[in-house]
Amino acid sequence: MKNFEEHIRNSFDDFSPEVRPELWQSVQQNLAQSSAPANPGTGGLSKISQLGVKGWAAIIATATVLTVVAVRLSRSPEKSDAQSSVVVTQQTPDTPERTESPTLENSISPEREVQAATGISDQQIDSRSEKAIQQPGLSTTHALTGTEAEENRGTLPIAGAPASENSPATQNPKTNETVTGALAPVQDQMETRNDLRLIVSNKKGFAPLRVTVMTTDPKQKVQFDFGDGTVMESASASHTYFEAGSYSLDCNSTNHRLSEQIVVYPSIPSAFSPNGDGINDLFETPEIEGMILEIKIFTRSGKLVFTQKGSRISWDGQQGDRMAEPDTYLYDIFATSAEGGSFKQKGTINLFR
Amino acid sequence: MTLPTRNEMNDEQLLSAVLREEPAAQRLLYDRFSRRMFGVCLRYCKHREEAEDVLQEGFVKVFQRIRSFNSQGSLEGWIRRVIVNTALEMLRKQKMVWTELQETDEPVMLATADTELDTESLLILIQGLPAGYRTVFNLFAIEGYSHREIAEMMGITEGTSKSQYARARAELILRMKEHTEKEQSTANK
Repeated sequence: MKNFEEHIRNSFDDFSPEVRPELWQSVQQNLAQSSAPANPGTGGLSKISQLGVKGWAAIIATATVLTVVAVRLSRSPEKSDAQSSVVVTQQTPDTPERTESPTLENSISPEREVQAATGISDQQIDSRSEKAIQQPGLSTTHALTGTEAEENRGTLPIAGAPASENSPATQNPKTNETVTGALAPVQDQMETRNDLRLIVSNKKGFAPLRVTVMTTDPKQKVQFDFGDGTVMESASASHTYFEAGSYSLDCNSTNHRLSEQIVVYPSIPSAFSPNGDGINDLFETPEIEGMILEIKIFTRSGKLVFTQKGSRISWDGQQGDRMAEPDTYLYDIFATSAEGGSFKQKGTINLFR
Repeated sequence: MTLPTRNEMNDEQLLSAVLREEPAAQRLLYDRFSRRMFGVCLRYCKHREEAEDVLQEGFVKVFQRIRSFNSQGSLEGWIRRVIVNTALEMLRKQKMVWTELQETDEPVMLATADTELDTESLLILIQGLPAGYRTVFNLFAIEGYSHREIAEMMGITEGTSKSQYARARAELILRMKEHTEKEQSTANK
């Protein structure tokens, strides 16, 4: 018989099933409603202009959360207690609504900054992620170093790190509250080897954001739920987030449930055309509450053509006193939030005329 | 100006009519491609209703972005890409379980199915595959994307795409066999 793939392809070659005539009406209706994006390449621009709305939503959300934090702090006798309960209240609303409404997601992400402000979670990202894993905030914030019944064979890839870095996490009173109480006596062991942790390549960045995740035990197959509908069963996994939002990356195995928050910011445009026609004349980054960006733009041969620092980057395609050539340019962005969290991201821009 | 009837117009003329915003041109373009594109949508979706949503949403995008079609390559190919991307967007919002091939696993590559099925039955079997299998199977076997491209589109690794395809293919062949056996047994009665 024929090659299997060929058979399948041939079968569907002329496959033209009947379409319900009503569908055309709804296409027309949708087109009429969204008549604005009729011109080409508005994708990038409209995204940016939406930011006005998102920005306000973000401010409101941030203010609300701050109020909640303040109220809890003032009521609760124990500080750490109040903080962890705030985290829980934040997480609940964002999970069910995530897939439905991207705008809402965006407004949620600044809350993570608030977490950082309250000292619960932030840490250095990127290449230092392995270190970050060991910082105390991590396991306590999003729950659960897990029920550590199983032994871990002691093969932690990060075993070289000084034990002192581990100890604050496990000795921190907060941990005892989040980890199931039964295990208090095991605490000493947890410090040294029983503590399965997540290693995440990066926790913040602009969409599309590629995230690689593994646990400290490479031999154990677990399930990674990336929080946007993608689930992988493996010892390590990579996934790209395409949409801005705050995602809970969960890792489930028989004995553990670990979690990490991934924040994806709106994408940076990949092309612009500084020709004065009013469409995409500027290369602009989305503005993120409380975030300072520093950009360096290079030619492909590595020559620096533009650098800027501020809450929002805007390049008009000028290279000194002349226009930069139409070409592909590379950039490095360093993002620093007011609370001290930072990340680094690379990308390319196509300049058209 | 009067439009030629739909049979007289080639894709290029139809495209320029749409770009000139001739009143009936959008409809003509929709009529020309909607059925084939519905066939594409059905393969990616579990249910007919889902496929209808993708078709609608996809054609809205086609008309919104038609100015960015650069006339290199075929119009149908471009529309198909828009439709497929719309389907993928919808699929990304659903839960998809990807299984990485373990080192111990042999890549499952059954030679071929000894049966050939009609398109309708094949469609039902493909629709019945888990979403991850179905997506990679469609993209690789039918649309002809490479594993590298699929990895980029779906945010997975090339290895995951390959192992996913191998499993999808084996699963589909198995289901094709079962389907044929079932048909034969009912025919014999």
